[in-house]
Amino acid sequence: MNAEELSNCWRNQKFDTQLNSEAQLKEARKRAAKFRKTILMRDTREVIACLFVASVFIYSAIPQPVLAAIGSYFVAFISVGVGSFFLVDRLRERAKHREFEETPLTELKASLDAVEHQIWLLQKVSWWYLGPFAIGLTAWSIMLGLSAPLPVWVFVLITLFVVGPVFYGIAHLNQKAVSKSLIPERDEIKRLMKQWEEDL
Amino acid sequence: MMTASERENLFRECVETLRPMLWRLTGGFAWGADRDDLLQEIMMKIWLALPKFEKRSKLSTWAYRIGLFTAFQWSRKNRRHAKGYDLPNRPPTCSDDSGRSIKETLECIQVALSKMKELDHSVLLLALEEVPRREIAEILGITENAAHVRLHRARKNLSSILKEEAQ
Repeated sequence: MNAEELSNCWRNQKFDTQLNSEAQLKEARKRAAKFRKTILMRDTREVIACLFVASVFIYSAIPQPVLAAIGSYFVAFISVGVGSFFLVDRLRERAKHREFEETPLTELKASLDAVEHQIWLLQKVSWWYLGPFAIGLTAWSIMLGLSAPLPVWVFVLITLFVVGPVFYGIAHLNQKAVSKSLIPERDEIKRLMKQWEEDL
Repeated sequence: MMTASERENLFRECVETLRPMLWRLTGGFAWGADRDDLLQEIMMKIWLALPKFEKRSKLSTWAYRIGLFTAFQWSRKNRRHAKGYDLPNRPPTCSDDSGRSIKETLECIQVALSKMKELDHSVLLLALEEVPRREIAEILGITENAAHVRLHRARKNLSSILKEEAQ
């Protein structure tokens, strides 16, 4: 078969669909709404979790003695800070990435930037997420200890005993996501970029 | 700024004039039920991107670019998830070397496309659609001359893959 025959064969494929243009428009709108909802959920899930933690600590501060209440407000403040960082980061990343880039190579570059940022975010989860919470909760347990008859170290130890495994689990899951999913994704994008660059 | 009715009319134009072409494009990336899913994904991306369409290029060039990018993203995602097990809707295989029916020839082209590098894949798909070289270059961000050279190589590559597959 020559090129023209192949092209004719390709272009003569029969396209059967039940969707007329109105139904297609409806379907595209439906998918777009679902897509936006997914993005919104992804963006707000962590923020809602941080706001929830903040409200729990603010509410629990009300009946507490002054020192313990200060500790609770501190954790609430840290929680709002972490949530804000998360939200700002998401908005900044979205503003950086245009819907469709100029060429496949620039599209790949944009994907690489997004994946590398995600890797950075998950690798540094101890710095921007777990660390501030650990500091906040330790300060809270010290303040709680100062206003209680028991020694401070007992409160600190109990807090570390409860929070430590949870934080370790979160850090472990994040690192696993980086090594199992994001690094292979980054490597594949790099390989494809190299391929495109060599071919051009 | 595009009005809501302008957006809807442009989308209808895409559906009526470009959807068969976009459906053929999906044949270079997906098979079976996945193909319909990919087409719907492309139509959704076109709908979302329409307010940013500035009419600097033809609607078909613009839509084809979105189709191609979406299909590549889709195919990369599928490849990553498919590691370690067979794709449920993997490409068909070629068996005959002569007297192929149209359906078999199409399946063989799909197999060949799935084995090509992304650039060859794109150039060949666009050439099969008889997109002029100038537009191929515009869609892929390469020079017209590079498009010409790539097309020549991609066609050679296609015929050798078709021969290999037939053996």
